Amino acid sequence: MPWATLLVALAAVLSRAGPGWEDGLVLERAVASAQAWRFWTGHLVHVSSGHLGWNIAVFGAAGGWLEMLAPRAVRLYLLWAPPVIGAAIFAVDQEIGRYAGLSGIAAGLVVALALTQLTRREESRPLWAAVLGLVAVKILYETMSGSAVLTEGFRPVPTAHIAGGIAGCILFGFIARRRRSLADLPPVG
Amino acid sequence: MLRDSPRRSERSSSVVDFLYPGQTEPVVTPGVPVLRLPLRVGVAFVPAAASRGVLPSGGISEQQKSLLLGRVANEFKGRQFIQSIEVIPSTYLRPGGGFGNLDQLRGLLSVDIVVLVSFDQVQFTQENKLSLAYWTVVGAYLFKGNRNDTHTLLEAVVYDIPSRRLLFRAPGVSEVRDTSTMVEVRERLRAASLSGFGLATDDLIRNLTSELTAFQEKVKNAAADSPVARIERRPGYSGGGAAGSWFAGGVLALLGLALFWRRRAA
Repeated sequence: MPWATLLVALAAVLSRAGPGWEDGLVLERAVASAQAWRFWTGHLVHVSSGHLGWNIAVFGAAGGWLEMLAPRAVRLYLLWAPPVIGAAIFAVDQEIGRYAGLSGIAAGLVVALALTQLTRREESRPLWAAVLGLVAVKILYETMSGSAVLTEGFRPVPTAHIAGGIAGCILFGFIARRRRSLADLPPVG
Repeated sequence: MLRDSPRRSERSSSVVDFLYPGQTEPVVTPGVPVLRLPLRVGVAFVPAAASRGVLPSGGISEQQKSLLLGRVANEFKGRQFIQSIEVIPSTYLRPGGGFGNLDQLRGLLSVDIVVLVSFDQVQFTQENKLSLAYWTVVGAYLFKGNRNDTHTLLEAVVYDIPSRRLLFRAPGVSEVRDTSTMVEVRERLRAASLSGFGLATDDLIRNLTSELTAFQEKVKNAAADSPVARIERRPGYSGGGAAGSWFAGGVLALLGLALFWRRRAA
């Protein structure tokens, strides 16, 4: 049972339940050092239902799948990745004052899941390579067009997906190290 | 009592008269506007010229103008690339004030983009055959012997004040047709005038929304060597990580296929 993924998804949905809750939870540069919890809660906040819906769909599918394959590693990832990704965004993108969204963490889970499945013989390698390719295309597209678009909603932050992708590679490293053979991972599906 | 020619009244304001007073050919400044996100926007009616015609002037009061502009502002307030939209009272604009006046607004109200709304409203009233009953005096109270038409055009132009460049424009039109008794003409024309402005504002909001979308596409798709506008971000701007529909759809489809493939292989 991928309970950690479900818990985070539920928390993200609940963060939109109350008016003004976002202001207390969003990752904000000015107060982040004094209110460190925002490094975790900021990823749960979303600016619109569409933003929440698509992020939860990717996070739930990839996170749920990977948590069933490597529960301990994914649960640890959900603890360490949010502050690491948040800190990376603030360090690289000096203009960003506020950050919100689960997709950085979700990108990491997608990358880790694809890398894990690519190393297993019984899985379709072209399909999982395509998943990695899709993540690369998304990052490239955002990096090239993000600064030129009056974005409906908010400014996309490619750094979040790049940092998420790197965090996903580290997560894959943990999973690979803990298992002597990735082929020993339990089958899902 | 039956007249052949309609009586007519016209009220209007002109963006060109406001921005380029006394100039026959408006001067267009070359250069690329720099839009600093999130945008600070002001929206105002340009000062109106005196009304012309034989009908009593209906027109639109400052309060009504403010309400109409408030509706336009509310429609665009939710957009995250807009920091604020100020409704600017007409008293802040001088007839023929030009860009000098806009520069003053920029300093006073901290707006970089201004939406200038001009209007042209023409009202006609013409007696129909029922107006013959007006000869009976009582008929002027009972029979709707007047046909009243109100045509309204609103035109919004969106200017970047620092670069003096027109970003985009959008029209809003309405037509109100009505009949009335002779004694009601004045009252009905006044009501039709207001109703015409309201309907034209609805149309203007729709057109502004689609023109804004088209402008966003133009900015996005413009060639690097001839940009429509340069986009910069103010420090502290909000951002986020979004999977987005195409990426999320793609990932879900691929995961679904992988699951299907896994089950078939098993």
